[in-house]
Amino acid sequence: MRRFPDRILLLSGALLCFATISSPAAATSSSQHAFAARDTVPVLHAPEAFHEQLILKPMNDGSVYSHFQFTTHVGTMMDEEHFDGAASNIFTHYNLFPRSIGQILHSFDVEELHLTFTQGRWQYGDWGYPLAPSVGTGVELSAWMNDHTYQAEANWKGLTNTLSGLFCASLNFIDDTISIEPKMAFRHEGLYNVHARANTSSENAPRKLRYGSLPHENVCTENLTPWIKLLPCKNKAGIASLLKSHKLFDTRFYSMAVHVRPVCEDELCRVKSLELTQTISTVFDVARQDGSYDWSLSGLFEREITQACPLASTSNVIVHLPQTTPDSNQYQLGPYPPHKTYTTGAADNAQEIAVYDLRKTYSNESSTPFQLSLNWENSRPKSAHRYFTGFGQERGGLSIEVHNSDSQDREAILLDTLPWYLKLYLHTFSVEVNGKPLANQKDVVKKMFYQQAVDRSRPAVLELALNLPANSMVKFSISFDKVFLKYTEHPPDANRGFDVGYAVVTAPLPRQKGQIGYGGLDHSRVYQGRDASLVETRQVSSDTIAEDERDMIRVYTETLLVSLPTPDFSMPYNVITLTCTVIALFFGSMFNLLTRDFQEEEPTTAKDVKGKGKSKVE
Amino acid sequence: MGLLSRLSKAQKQQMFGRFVLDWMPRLSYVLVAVSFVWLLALPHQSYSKHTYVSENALMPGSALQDEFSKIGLKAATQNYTLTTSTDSRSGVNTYAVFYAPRSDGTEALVLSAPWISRDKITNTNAIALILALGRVFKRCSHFSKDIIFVVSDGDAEGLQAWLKAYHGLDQTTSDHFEETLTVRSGAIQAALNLDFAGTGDYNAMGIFFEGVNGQLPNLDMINTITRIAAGIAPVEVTLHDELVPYTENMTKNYINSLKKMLYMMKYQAAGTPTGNHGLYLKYKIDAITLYGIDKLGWPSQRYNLFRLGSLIESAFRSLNNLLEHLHQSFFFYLLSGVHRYTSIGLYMPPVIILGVAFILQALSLWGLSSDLPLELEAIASDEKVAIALPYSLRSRELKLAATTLTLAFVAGGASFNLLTTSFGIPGETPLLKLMASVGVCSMLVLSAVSSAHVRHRILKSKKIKAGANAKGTSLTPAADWIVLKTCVLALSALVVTTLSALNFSLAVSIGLVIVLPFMAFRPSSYVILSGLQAAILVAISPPGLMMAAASWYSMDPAQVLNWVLEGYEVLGTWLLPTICCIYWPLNLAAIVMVLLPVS
Repeated sequence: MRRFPDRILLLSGALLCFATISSPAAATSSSQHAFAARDTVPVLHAPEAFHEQLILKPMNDGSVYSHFQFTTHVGTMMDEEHFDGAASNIFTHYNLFPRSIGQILHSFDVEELHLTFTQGRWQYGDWGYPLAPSVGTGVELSAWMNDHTYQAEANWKGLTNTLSGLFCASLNFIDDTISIEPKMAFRHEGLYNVHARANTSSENAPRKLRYGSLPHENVCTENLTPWIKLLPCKNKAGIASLLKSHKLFDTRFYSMAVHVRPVCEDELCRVKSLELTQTISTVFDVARQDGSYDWSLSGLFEREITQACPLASTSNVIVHLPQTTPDSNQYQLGPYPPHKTYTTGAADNAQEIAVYDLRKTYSNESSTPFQLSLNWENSRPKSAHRYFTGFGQERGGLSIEVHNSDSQDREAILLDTLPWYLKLYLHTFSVEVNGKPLANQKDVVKKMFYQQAVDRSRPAVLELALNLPANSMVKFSISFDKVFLKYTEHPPDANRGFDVGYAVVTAPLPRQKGQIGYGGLDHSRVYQGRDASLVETRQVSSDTIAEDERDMIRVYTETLLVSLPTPDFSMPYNVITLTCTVIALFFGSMFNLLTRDFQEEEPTTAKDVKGKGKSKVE
Repeated sequence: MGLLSRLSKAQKQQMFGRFVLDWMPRLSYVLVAVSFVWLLALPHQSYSKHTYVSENALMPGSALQDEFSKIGLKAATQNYTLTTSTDSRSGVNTYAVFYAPRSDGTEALVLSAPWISRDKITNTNAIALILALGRVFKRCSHFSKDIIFVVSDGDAEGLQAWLKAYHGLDQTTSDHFEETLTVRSGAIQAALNLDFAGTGDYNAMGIFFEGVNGQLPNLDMINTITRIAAGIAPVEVTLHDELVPYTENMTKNYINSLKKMLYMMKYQAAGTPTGNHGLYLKYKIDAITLYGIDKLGWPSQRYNLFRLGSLIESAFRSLNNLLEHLHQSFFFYLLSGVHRYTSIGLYMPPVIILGVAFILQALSLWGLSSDLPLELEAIASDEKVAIALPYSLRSRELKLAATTLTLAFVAGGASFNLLTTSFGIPGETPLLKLMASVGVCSMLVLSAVSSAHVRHRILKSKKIKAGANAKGTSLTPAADWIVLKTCVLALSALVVTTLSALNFSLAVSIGLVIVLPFMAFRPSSYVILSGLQAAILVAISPPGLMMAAASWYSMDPAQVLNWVLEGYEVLGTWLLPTICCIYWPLNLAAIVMVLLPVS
């Protein structure tokens, strides 16, 4: 495989040691040397960078939303001739990019990988849309895989099993029976298609999307530890030093993700790189203990940031400032003023953000830890927003309600995966708008993709391209039959019921002028401000943003618990004893009747003692 | 000689047959006695076992909407309207959901309280407790299941409307309206219903657990509460609202246990839930009602809301620990105290024995109606040896029995429909409708009896004529009453045994009431005796029982009827359909039977 694996390993180890004491720029240049030394591939440019940031956002209901985002870029900067995507030779050397992820991408031909662990439900009604792209309860895994050798199936299996080992999660249960291939939802999030070369159209490129979710996977510290290990500074320095599992898992919502995708580094996409984004989103219930909505970094995390990660190119803490009435400042942010404040969005959606650049102030360990707190002077102002929400429920069948509170029609894609043991009846599919049955479903459902389930091998998939009317509640319902499972197919906690995963509504929301978008991975680049001015350029260039610029947001419904007919598992014993008794009874008498020979016996008289017809009973 | 031996064999068989026929009726009475004794023995200590917590995950170790919103819970209200044949009820339910942190929201627990207590006064303490616990739970990070707080309006229809809407069965029709719920959670695993009237302290806590149609919650539900009340939050716990003083006396103990069990069986047989918990059971949600008993002068230590709060918090923590739906412990049991239960294996045999007694009696009658013992002299008059024929020469005429039974069931069904339909006639009351039903039924009895007598006379005269022509060749058919009684007894056996699997207490009550009259009564040549028997049967007919219940509870008969009707129309209990469509027809057929001609 590799020509000089040992040497390169050694070299990278040395480089890492070097990198910790030198600036990241130096590390990058050294890695360039490493590539150059091999001299097999003409390297154009190989930037490698790590960005860390923490976004804090007070929510409408008084909770505090914290979003950690760590981005590692690794250059895939070969020319078009030599580039072969994730399988590129860049994975012969690891500097900032985690080796475990790199090797997984390489061995399973993965172009794009999205893995999210979530504990809890995102309350769209109270919290708006999340900054993280995926918030479905449980584990969600999707990957675009190179299929030029037609091994995507085997690779997917390998990928789930390897990730399962890497993150100490039951990802290996994402097997064929729950893996699907969405046709409309979960499109590429990469900024270019690695196989779209000049001569081949992207349509023909042999790529396969695989998607699977485990709605009842519990997420805890054993998943967090391997996640932290992927970071260049671990949790020893920088923003990641705030990650204390005791506090993170004492929140209302916890979500952590790993996203890998190819991105462009310039407008024309001549410089390309692979981006690894690691996020942790938590929602703290600050008022839980004493009813006070004040919060501070040390209060939330019980840890402090003493310095920025030395390997990070940028290290920012961003606070979304609460919207208050202009006449009175109702809160105190300390330290204030931060290094910079910006206003994003326009008019009603204006959002003021404060940016603290940790590298500027806390580049060395001597300084005091970074403190941040927000105290309300009076009571916290209440604000109400309506959001685009959906929730699923079981009603003898299944129904999904999608609320569009916008004043104009919206396009959306609904994806629902149902396990094979729920037999869907497509003819019962019905659409209701604002409580009234819709005669012509085509008004709402523009396109429909339905994959029939196959027993014990694949799930049913329902994908709908929707046009949601303005200010409406659209309800989709479909009936199903529950299947009698074999008794070995029941899980150990059979009486709990079966978890049915969420449905996902994907909707493009137009990005307002200058606004930082929701959900998508793209907006993270805006935050990163890799040249520290991206936020500003966004601000400055707000007039030039095209009208159709959109953020794809994904809204997840709640998961369901469906109880199937459950046998009494103490019954087998009773059945066995009963059956044995009955068999013994029947067998005994049957055997007796079949083997015994019955003959008529003439009644013997005194004269006829010798009797011809003696009974012969064998 | 071969013939002889066969004859002797037949003789033996016949002797056995005679034995069976002679003894079966007696045996059936013995069985009835056994069944009675067994039933009475059930409350005894040696028959019941000490309860134990079966589910290991459960070990107890350890303007209202605004109020809910202030606590930080998602709160909402629900309007409902329910129209029955007698009146229309509407109200507003208030509910709030505590979303458990980091949970997936697939499972939920319910804490509910009606506005009005059992004692017909405001359920103040319970509602205060719900609000306080809402505040406590909001601070807890360890809950894995959502907790729904429901304060329901009305009697039971409020919570019923809420449950219907929660399970997506809300509808808007002329007699039903249930508003769709706006705040939801996952599948409800268990529920506690609180009934703590007034604002004072209490002596003891009663547990109500009987649901609609005698459905019971998993025994672990009761076990959990009693364990917690014995340890963490010491509170005296009893079944229902009856406090029993502690005693070492065996006989007194037995009487107390018997009383408790009879109480339970009464509630179970009536099929009306003893509290709002009963409505949850329909949706496979285990639930009980906790009721505060304040009895002056009772020696146990009084407790206040604080201790109650810790008791309920502990209970919710225990239920929160559940990994699965409660399923380990018994669903079918009789309780003779909070600590003692009798399982289905022990209480079912007496009912089955009762059924067997009915069947034996029916079989012996069926045998009687054949020509074996009756025609014995006629055949065996010439010879000494009687020959048992493998078939009966005598015909059993099912005509009368079949018509009577069919008409009786039609009459029963008709009176059921009559009672449950609103005709819109001014001044119509359930009692008037019942009277109309009684009229229909008595018409049936009258016509059946009179036509049977007329037919009997005609047949008799025919037989005399026929007898003049050819003597002895045709045998008189079996008496009508024998066939009818056989059918009634067989049907009774069917009803009692089938019902015992669905609602044990109802089956036992029906069985005990009918077993002796149905088995012993037969037409008599003394008109007075027949009349007396008919009078007893009328006394145990549904109207008769209704009057008896009314005088026992010193209520107006109309109230009893309204209560039964309400149970059917609001909660969907089976008492009225069972009484009208099964019990009454059998009773009518039995009345007809005792009034039939003797032979």
